[in-house]
Amino acid sequence: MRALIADDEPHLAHYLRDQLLALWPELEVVHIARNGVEAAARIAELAPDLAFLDIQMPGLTGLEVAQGIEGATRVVFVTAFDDYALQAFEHAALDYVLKPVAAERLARTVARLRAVPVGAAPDPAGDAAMADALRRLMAQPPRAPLRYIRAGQGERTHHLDVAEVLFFQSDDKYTVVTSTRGEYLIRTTIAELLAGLDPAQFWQVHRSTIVNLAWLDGTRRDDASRLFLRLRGHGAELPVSRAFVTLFKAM
Amino acid sequence: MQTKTTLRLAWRSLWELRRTHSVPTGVRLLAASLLAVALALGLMSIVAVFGRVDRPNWWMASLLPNIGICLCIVHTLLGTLRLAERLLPEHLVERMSDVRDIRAGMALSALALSGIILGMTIGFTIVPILVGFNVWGMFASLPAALTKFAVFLLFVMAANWVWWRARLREQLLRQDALDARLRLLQGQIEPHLLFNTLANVQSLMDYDPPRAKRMLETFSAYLRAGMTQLRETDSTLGAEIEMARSYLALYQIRMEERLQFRIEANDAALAARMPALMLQPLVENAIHHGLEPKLDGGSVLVSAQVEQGRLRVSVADDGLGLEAPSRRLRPGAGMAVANLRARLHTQFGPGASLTLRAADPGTRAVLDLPYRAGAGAGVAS
Repeated sequence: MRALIADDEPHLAHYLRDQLLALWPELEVVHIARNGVEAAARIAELAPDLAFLDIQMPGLTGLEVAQGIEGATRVVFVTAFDDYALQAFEHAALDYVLKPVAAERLARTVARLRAVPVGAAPDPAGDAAMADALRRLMAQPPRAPLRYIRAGQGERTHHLDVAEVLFFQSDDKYTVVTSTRGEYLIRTTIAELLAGLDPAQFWQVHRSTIVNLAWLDGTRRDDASRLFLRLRGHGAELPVSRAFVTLFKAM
Repeated sequence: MQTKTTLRLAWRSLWELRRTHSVPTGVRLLAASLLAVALALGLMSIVAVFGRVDRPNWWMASLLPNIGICLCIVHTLLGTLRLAERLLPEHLVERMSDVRDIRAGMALSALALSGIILGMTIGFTIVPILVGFNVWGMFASLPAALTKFAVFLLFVMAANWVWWRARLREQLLRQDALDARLRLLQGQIEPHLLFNTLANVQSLMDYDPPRAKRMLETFSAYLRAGMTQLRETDSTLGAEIEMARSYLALYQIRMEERLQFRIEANDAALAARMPALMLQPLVENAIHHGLEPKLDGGSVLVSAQVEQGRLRVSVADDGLGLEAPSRRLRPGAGMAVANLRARLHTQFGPGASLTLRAADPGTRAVLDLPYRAGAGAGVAS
């Protein structure tokens, strides 16, 4: 079993590692990340079986990192006290660890995690519960329905109907709008867009991606059971993160 | 002093619609009678100044009937209110005593007005029998008297309205202050900070015992400063800054090189009086929204100046800035600024302000208050 631990306070991560190893000697901690961005990159690169993610981290929060995981990595959230998040985790029966670490409690979590065999196929019910909890925790207050997007391009601005948009993809500071007329940059974040777009037509499929279902052509699953989307009129495929895979199960 | 307070309470309870009153009935009757005498004297003074009086000894002849009529009016009015308290269903009584509801105010006014008219009718009927002075006849013969009567009623209604507005304002202000304090109490010892510090100490005990010790010391200093501030409503900038300093020091142990901070304030500024726990939420915002979520962290500068009778306290950070989407999970997060503004407004009205401005990069919050020098300059230097 290979695990990654992410916490912006390294000694907390080290302490958690030592406690975990004492209870679970076969566990191999492959990396300790100091922020959300590093955690996301290393999870994609190392594909660990488990990721212990602190919720409040610089760069990306643990929740955001979880929303971007494409592979089979199973997430365990770590938090000191996030009342609201804990309620959601309890409700969705997600795994979490509380700081300060209580040995007895951690032992129970470890027992639960050990019960899942190495390399087991992802559990769709668990993924769906995770997707639901993340969506609720990260929801922005609802906005007025968004029908048009205004994108600046040098000295000109472009007026886009959202129906023309194939997908939105965030790129560090900006969001790239890919439409039938070309690509544009806007400053609105994925979370803000999500609050204004019609949820029946636009689906978030990744931390950084919202697609327009009207342009969806089909899906493809690769050897590592990762899911990709094809869109009409667009060459490249878009990855779907684990938390959102269940959206396409029923299709 | 004691009597004065009791009478004031009695005066208050006269006008409040409530099932049970805390003031004894005797005191309330006394307050009502005093009111009636004052009203009678007031009315007669108005007549003496503005009216045309040709009969000799008019003052003495009219005094007793007038007092009698006013006693009837006031006691009937209050009787009507007390009767309404008893007879109306409880939820209706509660609704009518809610000064924030304009309809409740109007219903109460209508009730009071009907009480006054009834009282006048009773008074005008009984008093002439006792003193042989036909008041009704005066009305029938003089259209001018009717006009005066109408003016009197309008005056009563206007006074009622003004009084009602004043009560509304007072209650809203009291509510505001209470709410602000409650939110303060709830928000102060943030569980996340508490548990995170404990977790830090737990892990540092194995890896870095001196740092664990430093963390406990700093956290104790922060808690102590916070507890003291929580008990005060009126504090000094010096005490506020001590709390902010221990808070920032605590975060510096946690964030290490990701956080730098500086505090600049001279003795005059440190001695200035200000409401407690006004600076702390601004420093917390700078950390939570500005620097903690930023990859490289940054710095906080807390500075204070006294200038032309004003105290200006600024908290500047070079973090993510106002534009960044909020990452806090708690519902109702980001209320700190609104709460601070409400508290400032309650205490200073338009005489104080809190402005938030985008700096490049980061955010700058400025508190602007009237300067009030406190005792013992440089207490917390």
